[in-house]
Formats: sequence, structure tokens, C-alpha cells
Amino acid sequence: MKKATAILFGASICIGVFGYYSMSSNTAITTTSAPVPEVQTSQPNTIVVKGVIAAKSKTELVGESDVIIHGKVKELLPSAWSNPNGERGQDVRNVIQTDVVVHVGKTFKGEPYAKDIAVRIEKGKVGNTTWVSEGYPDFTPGEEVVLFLCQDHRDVAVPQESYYVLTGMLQGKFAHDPKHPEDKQLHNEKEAIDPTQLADEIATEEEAYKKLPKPAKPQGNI
Amino acid sequence: MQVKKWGMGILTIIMGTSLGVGAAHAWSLNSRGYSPVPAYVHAYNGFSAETKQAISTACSQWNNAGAGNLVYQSSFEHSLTNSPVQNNSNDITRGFRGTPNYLMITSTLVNSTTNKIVEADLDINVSYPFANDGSSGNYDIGGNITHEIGHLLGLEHTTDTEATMYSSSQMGETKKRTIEQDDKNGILFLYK
Repeated sequence: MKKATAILFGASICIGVFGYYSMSSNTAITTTSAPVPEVQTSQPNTIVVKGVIAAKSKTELVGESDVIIHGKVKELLPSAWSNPNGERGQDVRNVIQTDVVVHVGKTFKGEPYAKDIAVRIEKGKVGNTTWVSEGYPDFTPGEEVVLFLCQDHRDVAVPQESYYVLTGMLQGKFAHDPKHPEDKQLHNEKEAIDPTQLADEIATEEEAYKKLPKPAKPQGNI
Repeated sequence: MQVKKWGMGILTIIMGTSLGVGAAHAWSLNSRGYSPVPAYVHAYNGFSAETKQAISTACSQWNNAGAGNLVYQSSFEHSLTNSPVQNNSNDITRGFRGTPNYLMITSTLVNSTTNKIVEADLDINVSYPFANDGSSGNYDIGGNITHEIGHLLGLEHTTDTEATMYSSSQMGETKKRTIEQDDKNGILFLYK
């Protein structure tokens, strides 16, 4: 009796799994020609942006940065669409951005425009749309950071506003590894720096950067 | 006694079937990929023949990963210059997106109910130098397009520096054109 019940139970599980996938594949088969993806605009949307980024060594980060600072994250301002009016539009390239306010403690290169600076990252949430961009790091208020910063030369830049962007995107943020609080160095995904020695390294890295081979001129019409 | 036996039998069938459907649905929800496959990508009509060929070759790489035909280059091209555009079409565009920025990006729209990718737009940032000849001062078109189509299919970045899905690329590097075992493992996990 028990054996028969177990067999019946097992067979029912198999029928359930088989039935689920049969229904799923039938949906695909009934689609003709080029499939049209479904979009549910009334529901919360998550736009996930992933991509390949230009690899940057520490030498390149130093050479390409206008400002390098050691500081502490104060707050994250409300996110907004990159459109000049802060709203979404379909006729222009448009991304969700968030300004991270960082209090500057020490400056290693350049001169920041204020003691509290804004660092603009391409991620955040506006209304029911969440923009997740893996090329940009996350920030937490109170976090100690060394940031490699430059002027924004992206197509969504707003020159009349005061802010920086990260040189090399997520490669431009160095922070403590939360799993190893005893480690005094700050890390990005590939390298580590010691804030107490960075000032001495800058000049050497600047010289090394001058000797690096330069990229070709962008053609555009690929 | 007979009624009790039949009742137990029916209850066992209902519980078993529910468990089976639930497990299959949970697996489906937790394995984000593009749906339905095959996906079709539409190239910008201004791309060079070389770039269009690179897109086709990139699709073939993923179709040969062992999980069947997953993505094709559509013969229908578009004239869009913005990206992403939510239009139920997987469009590949190019534009001067400036620096510092992605070399190429894939913006995916995920259905929050099914957890499946329903639209993905790929964009090439030509503010960076690109070529398809492996030259040292340029980023590779073919390798990086292959990387982006991996994202369209739902793959994440990997820590394997030899794999196509490694997150960064250097000038002159062409190794992303050919998918590695790590990339295949990801595709087989999502689609097999």
C-alpha cells in the first residue's frame, strides 16, 4: 500500500513537471516568424544595463583623472532621468542617474570644485522604473573611498552642472573590503591602493602614463 | 474503507502534481534568460558589411554552444540612433556616447512576473576606437559584440579572464570572439 502511494506520488510529480514544460514549449511553437517580446509597462520595470568596459590599469586611472580624492560618502540624492527636465523621453537617449555626495578629506590630484562634491553614477530608480547598470559601483553613506574622477564627456553630460564621473567607471572607486575590515588597503575589483602612500605614487604613475601607447582615433562609421 | 483509499489516492496525485508544477515554475523563474528563443537581433542599416558580418558570426558562436539555436540576425534592419528604445525589438545601434562609458552595452527589459528578458538593445559606443582587424590601437568589434549577445541571452559577467563574458576588454584583444567552456556552461545552465 505504502509502495503504491509512493509510486503514485512520484509519478504525479513527474507529470506536473512534464506538464509545465509542455505548456511552456507550446507557447513558443505557436509563435510565428520573428517573435515579438511582451512588455508590461504598467508593472514595475527593471532595465538592466550590462556591457563591456575599457580595462584601466592604475597607471591609466591616474593619467586620465582630473581629480583624485580620499573622502567619505555623505548621501545619495534622488535619482533622475538624464533628460534636461528630469523626465523620461523616447526620442532622446535617456538613462537614470544618481548623484552621490562625497565629502573630500584629502586631494591627491587636481582641485575639487568644493569640499562636498557630487559623483554621478548611472543607476537608480525613478517612478516604477529601476535602472541597474553593472558598470557602476554602489555607494553607501559613511563609506570611506578613494575616487578617480574626471569631467563628464558622455552624450548625456550636463556641462552647466557641477559634478564628476568615475574614471574607468567601477574601476575608479576604491573602498574597503567589508569582508576584511582589518585590511587597511582600499580595493577596486582588480587592484589595491594604500591611501597613505598614494600621494608618492601619483608622480611615478603620471610619468608611466606618458609612455603608454595611445589609442587610435575613433572612426565612428564602423 | 474503499472511499478512504480513493480519497488518499486522489490527494496523493494532487499533491504530487502541485509539487511538480511548483518546482518546475520555481526553476523557470530563477533561471533568467531570453524568452522566447530564438531571439532576433536587428542591425542598424548604416553598419559596414564587416560589422554586420561580425554580428552574424557572434550569433553563430552562441548557437553552437550546445543549447540549440538561440539567436539570429534578422534580415530586417533599422535606422535608430538612440538606445535603449522600448519598442519590442532587439536593436543594435551605434553612437558617440562619450567617455568614460561602456565600450558596448546591452540594456535588457525583464518581465518582472516571469523574470525573463523580453527585449534587449545593444549599443556600440563609437567614441572609442573600434576595428575588426585586431589592431593594437582599437577595441575589437566581433569579440565585444559576442560578449553583448551573451548578455542578451541572460549571461552575467564572469571572473574567468579568458572567457567571452569577462567584464572588460583591452585594445587589440580578440579572444572574446570565441566562446570558452565557462561561457558554454552558462548557456547550458539557462537553456538546456
